[in-house]
Amino acid sequence: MLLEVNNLGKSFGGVKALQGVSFSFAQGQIGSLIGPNGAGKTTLFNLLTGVFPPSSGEIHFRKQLLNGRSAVQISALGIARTFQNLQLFTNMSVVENVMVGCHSHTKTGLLGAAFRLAARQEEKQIRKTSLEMLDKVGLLAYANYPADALPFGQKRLLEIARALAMKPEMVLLDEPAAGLNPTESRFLVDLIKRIRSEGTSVILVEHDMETVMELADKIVVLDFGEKIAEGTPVEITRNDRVIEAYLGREVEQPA
Amino acid sequence: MKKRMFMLMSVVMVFVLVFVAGCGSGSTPTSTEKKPFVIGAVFDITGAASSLGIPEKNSAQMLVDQINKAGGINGHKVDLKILDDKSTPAEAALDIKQLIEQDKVLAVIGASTSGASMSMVPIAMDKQIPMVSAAASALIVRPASEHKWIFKTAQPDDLVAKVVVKYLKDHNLTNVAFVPVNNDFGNSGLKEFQNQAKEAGINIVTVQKFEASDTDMTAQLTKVRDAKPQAVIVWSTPPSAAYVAKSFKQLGLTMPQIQSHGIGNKAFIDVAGDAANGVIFPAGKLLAVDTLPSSDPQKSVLSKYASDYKATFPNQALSTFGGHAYDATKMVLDALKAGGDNPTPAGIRDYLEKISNYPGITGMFNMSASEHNGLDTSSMVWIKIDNGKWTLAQN
Amino acid sequence: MDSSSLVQYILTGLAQGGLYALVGLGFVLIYNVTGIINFVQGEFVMLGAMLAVTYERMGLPLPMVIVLAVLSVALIGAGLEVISIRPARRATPLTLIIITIGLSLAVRGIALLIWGTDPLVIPAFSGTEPIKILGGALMPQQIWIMGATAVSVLALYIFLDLTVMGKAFRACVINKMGASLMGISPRRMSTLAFALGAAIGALGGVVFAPTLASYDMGVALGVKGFVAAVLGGLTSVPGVILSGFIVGIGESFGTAFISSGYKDAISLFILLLVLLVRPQGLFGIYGGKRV
Repeated sequence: MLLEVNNLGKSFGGVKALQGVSFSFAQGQIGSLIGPNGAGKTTLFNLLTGVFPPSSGEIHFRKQLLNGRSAVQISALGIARTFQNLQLFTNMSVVENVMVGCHSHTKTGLLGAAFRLAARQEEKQIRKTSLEMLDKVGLLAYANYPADALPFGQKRLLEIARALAMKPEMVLLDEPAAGLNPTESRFLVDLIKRIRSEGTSVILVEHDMETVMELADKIVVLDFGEKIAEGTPVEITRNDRVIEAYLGREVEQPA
Repeated sequence: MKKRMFMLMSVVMVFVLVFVAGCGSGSTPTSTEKKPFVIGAVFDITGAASSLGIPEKNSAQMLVDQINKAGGINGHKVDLKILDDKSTPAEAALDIKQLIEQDKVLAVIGASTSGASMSMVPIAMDKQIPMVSAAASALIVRPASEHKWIFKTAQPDDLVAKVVVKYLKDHNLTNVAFVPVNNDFGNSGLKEFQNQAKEAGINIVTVQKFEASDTDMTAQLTKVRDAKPQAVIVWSTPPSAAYVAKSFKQLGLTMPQIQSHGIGNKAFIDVAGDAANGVIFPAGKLLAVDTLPSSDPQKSVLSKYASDYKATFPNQALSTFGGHAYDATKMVLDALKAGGDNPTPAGIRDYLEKISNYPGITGMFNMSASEHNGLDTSSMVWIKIDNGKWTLAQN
Repeated sequence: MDSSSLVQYILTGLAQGGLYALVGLGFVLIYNVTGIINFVQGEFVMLGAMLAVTYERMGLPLPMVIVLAVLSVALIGAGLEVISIRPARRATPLTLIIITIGLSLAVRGIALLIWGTDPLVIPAFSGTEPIKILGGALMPQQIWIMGATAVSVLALYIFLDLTVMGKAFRACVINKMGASLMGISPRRMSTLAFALGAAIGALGGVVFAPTLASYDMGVALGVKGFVAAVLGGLTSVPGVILSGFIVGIGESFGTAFISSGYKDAISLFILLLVLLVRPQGLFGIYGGKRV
């Protein structure tokens, strides 16, 4: 298994955001986390990427224990992510944002970079890779725009490009379709399929059921911080607890 | 927890450093039959005036060590407690209080600068402990009737001003610019010079002050240049005095540059470099000791001090400031000797006031009830800096 | 006043301002990454000057003296960050600032023990014959100082804008959390900021060493650099450079037109005035992002 989560819990000052959550995702899959608002999906992402440590339980990624590792160390193991509320480097250009994602793959040390000795060739390579990433998400034409100037939907795509620039084993996408128009959504679905076909595993937090059902190989359903179901899209749609707790209760999508 | 540790550690580190830096010396008395005579000294050992304070500390310590080696005074060792006022008047006041109240000193030597000395005066007066300052300002001891317990060994600035004014008159330089450092030394010099220049008919065309920490005086000297003086008089101590010389050279000014007795140490030449060449200044005879005629009454005292100092501190150049402290210490030690086994502050004071025809490093001293410095213009010679060296200037 | 005097006031101001800008640049660099106003900055300048004296007296050629002094102080800067700032990095900015004040006292004290209190100098890099410009005069060393400022700004621009490491550095400034999830270690960047800030300060110290190297020179220069940094808005590189020159020229003209006795007061007055009218500084972004 690529990712194994065992009995994971997180509480914030007595409030239990997550408890006893266990599941696993296999290599090359698109997994999806769904659940109503406040179910603990983003908390789970934050635990997976080391933003804060779990209160209990274990996370294994590629057979390595993630507990106790910092965000920097976890990213080096091959987990990249995007954010529900965007975390772009606003004062930089579009392509620079992606180049920062490549940072972890630079070989030249601090002094080398400072004095630009061996760094030149590497710089060129990184810029080239970054432009390819932008091409992949359809933002090549905006490479030198300030990141702040992009419309919302394209900022989401830029975050994905930046995450992919890290050449991760697994990429976590936090509500990538939120705020996108139908054309953009369509493009996103194709993009995620392409990411999987190139060998990168994906975990998706998404409210848009249509997108999830089309993409996911496996779905984990959370409610009030606990896992209530796990299975293929077909299994999930037939699961009584899911229908009762989630689909039945919250037919309308949040704005 | 960690954070507190580090805070604590840095605080401790700071205190250790301040302590190590601050309390340099003060030799502990060895077990002799007779109890040691304790005297105190306050010098500007660190901070802006350290180029004055260090040779002063060295000179005072050297003299006391010599005396103790030779068996002390009347069989008593001398215990010299030296404190550093860090070139600040407030510290100087605290230092003298500590010396008088805790160390029970019989007399106090110092401080190095006028500002620090002035802040010590009221305390010495109040506690009735004789104090011998090594600083310049005449106000430290004047009027003598109100400064019963205070003496000083450096040439007072009114005396130096008199020497400078005489030079200007002799050379027919009647329009001059005055460039003082903006502290007690410079302002007191300015006041004395203004008084005496007026009497002598010398016109001060502009006064341009600078701060002791300044390193570029071209702005001030540009104003000086615009005022077209025949000579420029600089009243400061190194390093700032040296930056005036540097800026003087930078602007290519050609009129005579007369500096004060405040530059009588090597630091001036070190910092000013080739810009020091051509500067003339009045100073004690120490700087020209080698060229002094043997008929001079100070010659033997000066030669002994110069060779002792060079032997004890081979890496340090002679300075007139060391001489001021040497004189002050010597006078106090002489007074102790006159006091037998039980010298008192009052006895020391009375002795100091009677010193006459006394050849010191700084000059011939003639103290009296109305004069607590006792030097006259004969104590000063004109020195010219030539090729980075002090030479006796013609007249 | 004739025009050559006016030129002289401007030249004097530019020469002093270049140094203030250089010192201020170090403040800005470290503040941007760590949120700390680093009061050791002035001491980095002092260490640069002192080490230049030491290396020069060892008989090393000038280029070696410059490079070695800058590298040594960069290492010292990084070292200080690792032993004092890093362990306390979860502390409030105020605590960290107090730590830097303590550090500056410690550094000054150690310098006092090593080098003593005498003001030291090294020979000027290109002689001491003044250069005439439009009737004003500049010392060759003052041109070195302005050159050092220009080189620092250029090097910083190249590093921040044209290298991936520099972009990572900026990313850390803009969004610390986002950066750490990109694999950029904020701890490493904080150390790098101190190393760079120290190097820039040291360069200022080295080119100033023919004028003065003294264990307590860092205080006065630190204050002027701090004024330039705050005036420039604390976060802006062009801002601090321009502000450094504003302070330098303000002092020079203040000496000329108000009184030479108020030189230090003038820079503080400029600072107060600007902060009253524009609390964010001349170039700062109000309530700007801080990491």
